[in-house]
Amino acid sequence: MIRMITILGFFLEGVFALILVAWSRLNSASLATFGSLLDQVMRRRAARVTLVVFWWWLAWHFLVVPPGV
Amino acid sequence: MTGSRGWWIVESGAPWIAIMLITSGFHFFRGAAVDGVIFLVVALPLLADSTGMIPPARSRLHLPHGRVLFALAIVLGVPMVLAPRYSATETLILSALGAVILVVVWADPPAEPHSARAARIRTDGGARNSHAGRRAAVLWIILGLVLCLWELSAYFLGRPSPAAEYNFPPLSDLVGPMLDSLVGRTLLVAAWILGGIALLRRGRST
Repeated sequence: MIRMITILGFFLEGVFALILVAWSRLNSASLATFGSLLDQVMRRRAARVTLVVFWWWLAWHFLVVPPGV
Repeated sequence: MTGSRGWWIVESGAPWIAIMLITSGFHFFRGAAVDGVIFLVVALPLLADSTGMIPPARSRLHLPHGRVLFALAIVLGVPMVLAPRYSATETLILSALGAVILVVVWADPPAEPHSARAARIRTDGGARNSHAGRRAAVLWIILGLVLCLWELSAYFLGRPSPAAEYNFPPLSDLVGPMLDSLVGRTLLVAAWILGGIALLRRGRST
């Protein structure tokens, strides 16, 4: 039961993200799209490097580092 | 926070550097020293850059697109899918990619032509200064923070025992097994590469 609640939390995060994407697509006047937000953020070096390192690290974490390390 | 000042949190370097340093510290805490070093090694030059110690760099390199980008994605993706997990091949591929990507994203993108800038502002409604832009920034930041807190809670609550870890699985434990099948690994690697390409294209005029 507790495990399901934990998993449900991650699932709801995904649902909320999809709602934000759909909302911005349907009414970009009230919510800017994720893409236009990233366009602003990625112009700054610190943000750009941080986001890209996190993206790169996902593959590193799952494909290079064995569990428990 | 009002007007363009509200964008400080996403545009200033300080919060991003703090995120890198906190992440580094967390990895050291959980015993993943290599991961801790990775985030620290990137955070320190960012810190130096924020104080003006590193001269500005602007790239003249435009990202490839179309067939070239597709070919690069295949060249990168196929060995990532086929090489054994945790193998030296994966380490080599991702180490090389990480070094190249870091050089590419460190330099500011090529200067945006006036016409492209005007078109962008028309398209995104000048998101930086709009209510829609600020609302999007706040909501996505909240989403990111909640995800981090949920993941951290699962990690700490699952630490005491294997039973506790079963009840509070971190996201890694849920996604990891999907990479054991060829189909799952192909889909996740493809999604990762597409996500990276989309990320790299953002903030650059095309």
